[in-house]
Parts: sequence; structure tokens; C-alpha cells
Amino acid sequence: MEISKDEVQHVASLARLGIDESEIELFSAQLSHILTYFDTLKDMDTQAQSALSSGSLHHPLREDQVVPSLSRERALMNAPEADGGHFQVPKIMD
Amino acid sequence: MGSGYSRGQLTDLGRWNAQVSLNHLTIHDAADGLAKAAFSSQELSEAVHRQIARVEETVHAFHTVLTEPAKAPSTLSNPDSLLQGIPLGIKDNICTEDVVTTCGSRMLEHFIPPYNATVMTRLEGHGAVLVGKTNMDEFAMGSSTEHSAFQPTRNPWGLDRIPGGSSGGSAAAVAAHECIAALGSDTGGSIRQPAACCGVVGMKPTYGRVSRYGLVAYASSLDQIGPLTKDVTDAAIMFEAIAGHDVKDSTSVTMPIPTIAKALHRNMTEIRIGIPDEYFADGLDPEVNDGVRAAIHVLTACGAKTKAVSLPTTPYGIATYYLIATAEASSNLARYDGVKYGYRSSQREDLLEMYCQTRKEGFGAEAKRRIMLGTYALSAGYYDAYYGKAQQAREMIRADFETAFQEVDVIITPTTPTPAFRLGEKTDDPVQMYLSDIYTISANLGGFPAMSVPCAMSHGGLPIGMQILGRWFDELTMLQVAFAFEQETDWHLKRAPISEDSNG
Repeated sequence: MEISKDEVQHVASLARLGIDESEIELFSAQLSHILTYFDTLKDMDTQAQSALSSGSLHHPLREDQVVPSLSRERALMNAPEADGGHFQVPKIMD
Repeated sequence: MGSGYSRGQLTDLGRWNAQVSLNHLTIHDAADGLAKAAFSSQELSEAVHRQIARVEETVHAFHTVLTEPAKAPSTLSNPDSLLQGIPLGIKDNICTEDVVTTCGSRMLEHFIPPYNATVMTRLEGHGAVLVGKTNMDEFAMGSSTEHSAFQPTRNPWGLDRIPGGSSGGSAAAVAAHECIAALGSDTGGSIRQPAACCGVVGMKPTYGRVSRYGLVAYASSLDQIGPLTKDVTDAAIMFEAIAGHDVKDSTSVTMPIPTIAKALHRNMTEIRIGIPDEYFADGLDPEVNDGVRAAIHVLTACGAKTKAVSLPTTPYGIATYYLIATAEASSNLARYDGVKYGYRSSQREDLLEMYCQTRKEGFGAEAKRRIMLGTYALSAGYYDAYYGKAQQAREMIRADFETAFQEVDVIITPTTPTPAFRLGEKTDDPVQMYLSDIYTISANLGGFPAMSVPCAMSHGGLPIGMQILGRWFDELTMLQVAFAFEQETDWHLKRAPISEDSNG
């Protein structure tokens, strides 16, 4: 499976991941190599198999009750930029 | 000097009577010594910190070492717990309130959790003491700890070797006796593979047994927290302390936790061991093969029966695992956008540019590679061929084990295909690195419990691990088999050369 540089660029933009020219080159080669290995899965006959997800024995539900949580100050303590009450982000529109 | 005491003073253990440093003790021996007032928890902590001062510059097991407890021990006192006063290393993807938790990444280099992970709350409730946060592959993505954004960890048994990963720091810290025991996390083998590489016990409980609240998420349908310890009894003690339902993790189960640490003795004549041919095939190092087969022979000499079992889906495990894990990772890591916490790029013309630059500068190469792979596998046009196919394959792999477990109580395999490889040996070849997980991933895909115990040494002096897999929620039988093996052998008592205290 070959992954072209255009595809790498497209996937990076889907993932909101900035990449430079050398990384595009590297990822194109490495992802192609990895996906070629993953092609082993194509030999597996899975036709009769449904893709149920494993695990959970039941669906846990609870009452929607207000309980104590982090204070505003604690919730904002790791924010790269905050004004004391809000997270701050660069402008979204002019 | 408070660090040395005669083990013979404590109990009639009698295996040896030599002077040992307190940091070499297991949890249960240290608890015994504390209960008999042979030494204080202060002296125990001091011994651990002296060892850190002596070897940490070489081993690099920790990212952060606490010089004083984060919380006053007096408020945590729990004299009934075996973990009271026991110094533990905690993997750096487990949130520790007010103690920096980096997840091995620049993205979280300065992240200070405002809350504790549930496992930390439970351990603190037992009176355990946090020694430090252990090094790891960035976002737990790796099998060698070389993908840490900060520095690689070295294997205490061979300083040119990797300690395994991604919980390599936890395994190395236990093997170098820089803590009494540690916690790691296991998404595809990240507890068991480093445990095998470093000659310690590592256990992944059944999916749902241990709350992941406060564990930095990598692949949520696979992640599980578990202990790395010096012996099987300690693994049982740690497991009992951290397991149990948590309303903050809806995937945690309400099933009661059986008493395990006091129920480890089991007559092996009742045990049927499954041996899958597929796990002893091409690619397995001859020394590992011989070591694990000899270990199985120890158990059959105790009366256990063996039976060949077939796991025909084995060749598809790695591809299935890496498709599911990277797809989930690409979704989980979307949260690192430079807004609420973590790194933010100074280049921020607009919001989109800020996202892209933050993620470009904050993530390392392997995290980027997995985000790219996962995004690709989930993207329009490829979803059915990759992610959908992998989900079907996962169910078939799980069904293989379900069939096998109808006939046997545990399954035994090697933990890793080779002993610890050299630093730098596989960093340029992602597929070779991924293949290090070949024997461990199925327990995550299937959700059942699995553990690694030291079972042999290579001619080059590197530890070899045996993997024991158990039925869903039957950690007890798995640990009983491991305990029976440990009673007959002394691999768990061997010490890495660097861990030996020169002044006794």
C-alpha cells in the first residue's frame, strides 16, 4: 500500500497536525511500509464475523445529579492563556 | 546505619540471612518489618532515596523524584494496610494531584493535575508513599521507552539495553530497587514486556477491573493499569488495593474483588495449562524458547497438566492491534489543542494555525506517526478496509481464546520474542518495534488478564519472562500458577548488578 505525499498532507490536515516537507517525505515512506505490513489482515476471512465491540457487560447509567467538582481556579490552572474566568484562544473570525 | 537489617530478625523466612538494604525488600517483607518495628517507614523511604541518588543518574527510571511526600503521611495513616509507608513509583501517565504528570511528552511537560487518578486515591488511602513519576514512551506509545520526549531509560541488567516499554521507567525502577513497587499501564504489553526485559513481575488485570479515571488515555478499549513488583505476592497486594468499581470510570465493573494475596497457595494437580504452538514458532529466540519450556516443566513437575491449544488468528494480531490502537489514539489525542491545558505554540495567527502548530511542536515522532496512521485508518474510503476489518479480526482473536479457555485454566507463552534489545536498535524501523509486542497484544484485544514472571536468564545475563494468561476476571488462578512457579525457583530473587549496594 503506497501512501502518496498528497495523501499524507490530506491526513495531516484532518488530524490538525502541522508537518513540514521532510516529515511528509518520511511519513509517506513509513506509513506505506506499515500499511503494507497491515495488508496481512486482508488474508483473514472475517465475512462471518460481526464487529461487535468487546467488553462491557451492561450499560451503566446514573442519575444526573450535581456533585462538587473542580473550582474554576483549579480548572484554569493549566490553561496556556486565561483571563481569570475563561480560557482564551486566538480570534476565530474578524 | 538504618539501611541494613538482618532479614532473620523479622520472620522465619530463612532463605538467607544476609544483611540487605531496606530498598531491596518486597512489599510484604517491608510491611512485616514495619509491623515488628524493625525499622521505620522513614528509614525505608531514606533507603529508597539513597538508592535513587546512587543509580538514577545511570538508569534514568524517573522523570520526577519527590524529595518529600506530596501529602503529610499522618493524614493518610492506615495501619491495617500492607502498603502503609511503602514507597512506590508511579508511571507518568497516571495523574497525581499537584505533582507534574508529563506522559513522557513535551505536550504535557508542565502539566500539574488538579486531581488524583482513582488508583492514586486508593493507594494513598492505603498509606502508600509516592517516590516519583516514572519515565515512559510518549503517550505510552512504544516498546522501549526510547520515545520519551525527555531521555531514554536504561535496563539495570545491561546499560546498553532498553528496559522495554512503554512502562520502562517503572520496570527499571523496581529492578534497580529505586522503589519497592510501581504502577504501569498496559495497552498492548506495556507492563508485561518491560517486566520481562527487567526481570520483574508485571501484571495486566482484566479489562474493567481497575479504574482508568485519571489515566491519560491512549487507546481506551485496550488501556489497563497494573502493578510491577519484585514478586507475585506483591502483585496480588497491589492488585487488591487498586481494583474495584469506580463511578468515575463507566467501563469499570461492579464485580467483587476476591481475596487473592492470602489465597495464593493452590495445588497444581488441579491446573490445566494450555500451550499454543503459534507462540513458539519462527522468530522466537532459542534461549527464550528453552527458558519458557523449562519453566513449564517446573509447573508440570508440581502436578499441572499441559494441553496443546490452537490460536489460529495469531498471525493477524499485530495488524489488528495497531489499527485499533492508532485509530483510538488519533481520537484521544485530538484533545491536545493548546486550549485548556498543555503546550501552546507561540505562532497563533488564528485558531486553526494555533492548533496545527501546537500539535506539530508538542508531539514527538512516534505520537505523530500513530495519529497519522489512526486518522488514515478512520478516514473516508479506508474505514471499512482497515478499522472495520480490524474490529472483526479482534472478535475472532477473542473467540480463539474463549474456545481455548474452555479446555484449560491458563495459557502460558513467552512474554517477548527476545531478551531486551539494544538502545537504538529498532528506533528507525517502526514495524520491527511493533513486532516486539507480538505475544502480549492479544490479552488487550481480548480483555483478559495476563502477567509476566521472570523465568530464566540469557547467556548474556539478561532476564527472560514467561507470560501467564488467565480467564476473564480469573486473576486468582493466574496468580496462583505464577506463585507456584515462584515457590519452586529463585529467578525473582536475582538482582541486577547495578542494584547491589556496595556498602551492604
